[in-house]
Amino acid sequence: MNHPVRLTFNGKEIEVEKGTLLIEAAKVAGAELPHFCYHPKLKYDANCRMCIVEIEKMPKLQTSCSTVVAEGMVVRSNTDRVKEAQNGVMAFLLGNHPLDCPECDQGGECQLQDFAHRYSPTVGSFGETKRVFEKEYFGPLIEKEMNRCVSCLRCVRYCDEVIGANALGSMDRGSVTEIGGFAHHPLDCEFCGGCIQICPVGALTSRASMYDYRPWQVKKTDTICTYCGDGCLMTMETIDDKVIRTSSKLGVGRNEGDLCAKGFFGYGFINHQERLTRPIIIQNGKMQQVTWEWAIKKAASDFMAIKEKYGPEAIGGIIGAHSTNEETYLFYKLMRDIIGTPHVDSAARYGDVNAHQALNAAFSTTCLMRYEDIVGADLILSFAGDMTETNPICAIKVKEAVRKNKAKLIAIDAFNTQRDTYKSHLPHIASLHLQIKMGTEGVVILGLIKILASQATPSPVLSADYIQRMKQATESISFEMIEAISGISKATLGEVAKRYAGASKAVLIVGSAITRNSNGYQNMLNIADLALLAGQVAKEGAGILALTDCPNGGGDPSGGSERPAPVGRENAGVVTRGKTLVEIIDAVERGEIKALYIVGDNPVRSLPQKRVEAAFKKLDLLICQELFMTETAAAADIVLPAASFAEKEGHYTSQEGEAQKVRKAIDPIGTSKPDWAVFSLIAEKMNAPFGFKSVNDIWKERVLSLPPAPTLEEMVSHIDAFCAAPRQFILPFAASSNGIKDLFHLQVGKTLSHAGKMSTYADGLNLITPNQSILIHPDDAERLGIVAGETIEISFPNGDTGSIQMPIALSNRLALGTLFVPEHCSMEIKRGLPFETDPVTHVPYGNYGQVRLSKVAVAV
Amino acid sequence: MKSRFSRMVDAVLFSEILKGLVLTFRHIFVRSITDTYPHQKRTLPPGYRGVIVHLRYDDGTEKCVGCALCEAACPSHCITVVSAEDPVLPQRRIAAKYTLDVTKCVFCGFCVQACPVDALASSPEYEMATWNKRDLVMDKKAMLQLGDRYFPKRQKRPPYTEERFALFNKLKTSTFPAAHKIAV
Ligand code: SF4
Ligand code: SF4
Ligand code: SF4
Ligand code: SF4
Ligand code: SF4
Ligand code: FES
Repeated sequence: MNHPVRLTFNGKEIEVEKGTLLIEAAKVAGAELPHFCYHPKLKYDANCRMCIVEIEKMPKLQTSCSTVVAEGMVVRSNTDRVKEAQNGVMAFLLGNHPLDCPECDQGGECQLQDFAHRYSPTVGSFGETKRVFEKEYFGPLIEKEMNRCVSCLRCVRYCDEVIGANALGSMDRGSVTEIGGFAHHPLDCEFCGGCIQICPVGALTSRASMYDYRPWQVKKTDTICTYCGDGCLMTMETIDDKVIRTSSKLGVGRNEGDLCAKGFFGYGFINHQERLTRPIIIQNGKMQQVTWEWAIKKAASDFMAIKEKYGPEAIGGIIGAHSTNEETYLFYKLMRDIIGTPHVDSAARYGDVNAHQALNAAFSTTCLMRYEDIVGADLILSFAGDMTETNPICAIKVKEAVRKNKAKLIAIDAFNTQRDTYKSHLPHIASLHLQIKMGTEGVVILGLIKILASQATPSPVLSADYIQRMKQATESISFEMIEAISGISKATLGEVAKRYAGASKAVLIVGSAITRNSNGYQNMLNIADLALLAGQVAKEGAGILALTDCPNGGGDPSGGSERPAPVGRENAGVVTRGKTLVEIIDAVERGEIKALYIVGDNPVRSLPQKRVEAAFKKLDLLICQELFMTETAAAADIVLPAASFAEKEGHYTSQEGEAQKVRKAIDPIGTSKPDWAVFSLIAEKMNAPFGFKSVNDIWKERVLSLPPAPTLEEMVSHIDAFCAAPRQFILPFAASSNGIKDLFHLQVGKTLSHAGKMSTYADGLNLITPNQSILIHPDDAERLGIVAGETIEISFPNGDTGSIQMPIALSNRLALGTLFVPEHCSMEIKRGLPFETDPVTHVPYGNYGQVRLSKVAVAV
Repeated sequence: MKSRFSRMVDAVLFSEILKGLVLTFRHIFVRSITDTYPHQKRTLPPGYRGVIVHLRYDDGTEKCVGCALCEAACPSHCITVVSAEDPVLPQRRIAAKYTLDVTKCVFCGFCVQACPVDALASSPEYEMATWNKRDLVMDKKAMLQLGDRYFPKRQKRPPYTEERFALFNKLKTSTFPAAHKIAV
């Protein structure tokens, strides 16, 4: 305690930190004061008057949620005067309350219920008729029963202060006060479910789990959300083997009790009726359910046969993003040690590898900062305009920094500054927003480097040599070229560079716009240079954070193909550099790889569809381990049903580098098995059992197999070595456009309510975004003469395929001339987009392209 | 102690039996105090706690709202409530599944007291003998049937909920996608 303050609470001497609110101090004294409007996450509002206390020398009763402790205060909450006042407040609240606890989903965890037991008069004196509001909805998933509302405004304040969607407000006054979206139109907010969780009563409840449970019936399991790399801790609430709802605990976990739409409403896929429950053999297009015994035997013997015939290198393996650290480790072990092939890769190859390898190359670690640093920073430089959509909780941290701590946000992205109604959009709250042309982040980074290099002065951290080298390397790049390509002038770049380098603590956040798009690896390296030149890395409170959408984004740094051999095999020398994801597909095409084992990944969807499908036809054996019958599974010979993250144990490592425990909430659906169990079975059948008794054993071995974390000296010398390496910068884009007019820039990415294919099995999320549509700016739509919902034809001037049709939706946050296609409905689009792989990391890039739009002639 | 002779006389004349017979014959003239169950049944005292049954309102709708408070109150864990939304009248909470295992029930009546809508009652039913033990795990249908038998006089349904839900559904089903609950 830095500044202790002594006071007496109910006769008890206590000591608390200066600035503490009385209501918190009461907890120290072991008393819980009844309250409704107070919530530790929010600024106090003191509107419910329930938390009143008597303070000596103050004539009136005071609200403890808004009173700060003072030295020598004598406070009482147990006097008759306080009790009488509390009874009065309660009588008012209950006067208009419907008291339908038996039907109310909050019953059993309701603050009004709890406090009514202790603080209310036994008989009410309210003789009038109770107010009656009609039941209503906030959008498709939030149910509003205003009769139960105690007007504490916690929901409104949460939406404003934490989420920043500003979707709610209170309307009318007095006893008919009502919470609602302004102007009574359907709410189209972020659907984070926060208002449901923070409402002390049952006025806001979830439609998705309505009436399905009573709070005391559910079993609660703390686990980690699987929809993105933020690593949110959430509580899975289950009855028998059904997930009833998810929730979070205030202040706990990296998310501190906040969740996003995917975390709160996205659990539907777990108990989806289409989950695979039995192993399936597909022969000549016919599916046949088989036993595990049979399927494992066949898988093992087929692997052996192919190994015998073509050698171990004819077998390849790919593991997906939702497998835990243990499973990924065991998969590599199975493929490398037992099958003996180096050709294994993981879904990190879709983009995370860029960030990992570049940051490792520069700093020898990827854990350069934590979320606390975002909140504590005074400047945030963000290359992730869609952070609210891709990594919502990380975006909440940014919003917290901007709103509460008055940090400055500089956003560099291809989005518009405007936002859609009731959706927070980071560029909207940025103090400086650089709206660049789509896909030109790399150029802007070079521009910033050029400016910083010309201004930097040598220091112990920055050698004169390094600065000189950077100056030379950027010499050939002119600001005119940069402006022509990206649309950003020298003056603006100068301003950004000045603020970034001048900040006392600045963090740099990089999103998929860089890691998953063309030239990603080089751009990430340049990011490292940028941060080094500005002096905003390797110092307290500053750093670089690369966002990812894989729950285990931080766990499998280099992808599979370059990992060292597992424990005990270091000297065996088996590991040559294996093929990466796209190389594996290429090798399949060439007939070099005859058998493929794909675990929880769907290359047919993520890579150019036709090519992958044609390649798979050439395989002798394709084993797919999946939750659902995906496009890849449908092309397989053996399909093994996998257990979802709710059904297994393990660890996910978040983008921050935090390894967090995934816990088993329900038994596996049907006969499905966790990935690691399947690997163990296969290994056993191949006469080389792993001998792990539990997931914990695998975890221990994996942790031991990792190289030790670099020490400080090692890091410093690593950075020095990185700085000493020669530099050569080339502008990644030719300055001229290819001359075809009216082309739209199209980007495929994540939306707030969907991540990949899995989320489309969660019907709750489907309700939020029912249609698969392509987003376009309203002005562009008007220019083309199309309205929302209308179907439009997309053709690809550079691609080989014909055109496809899709309905459109309008969004203000898109810049003019750009289009956005949500990832979950992008399979057809991707066929027409150009495809390339990174020269260094072999990351596939196929999410960006230029397209032409035309109106579809309506047949009358 | 009787003499040896008198004991011999007793044995020859079966005097013990005679004594017994005398007692028996005497009782022909005394009023009997036992009931000849099952031909004759006792009138039960008020408040007798027999098998737990479900009640209905006067319009035939069941009272239970599926709140599971009875399940929570039951000391022998013999009640299972699975609540859900009424498929016919969305927004209304019902017990989609309700079972009471009479073999475990201790007839304490806690559930009756816990029920906030007086949907449960202790009936005077105590004859539950059956050839099949499974019959003793009663579902809501069986409990309602018993309730109908023993409590023919029904309470009036309070106006409020049903009407409100009906109105709400009428207003919302056409315009609102989730007025009928989705399976998530
Ligand atoms: S909000 Fe609380 S007090 Fe009101 S009906 Fe629901 S459970 Fe009961
Ligand atoms: S809806 Fe809930 S959180 Fe919002 S004002 Fe009413 S009681 Fe408070
Ligand atoms: S931010 Fe990411 S990890 Fe957190 S709840 Fe949302 S999807 Fe899950
Ligand atoms: S009478 Fe008692 S034991 Fe029987 S069901 Fe009710 S609460 Fe349970
Ligand atoms: S019988 Fe009564 S206590 Fe039991 S679930 Fe139905 S309404 Fe609730
Ligand atoms: S909690 Fe203090 S006034 Fe509401």
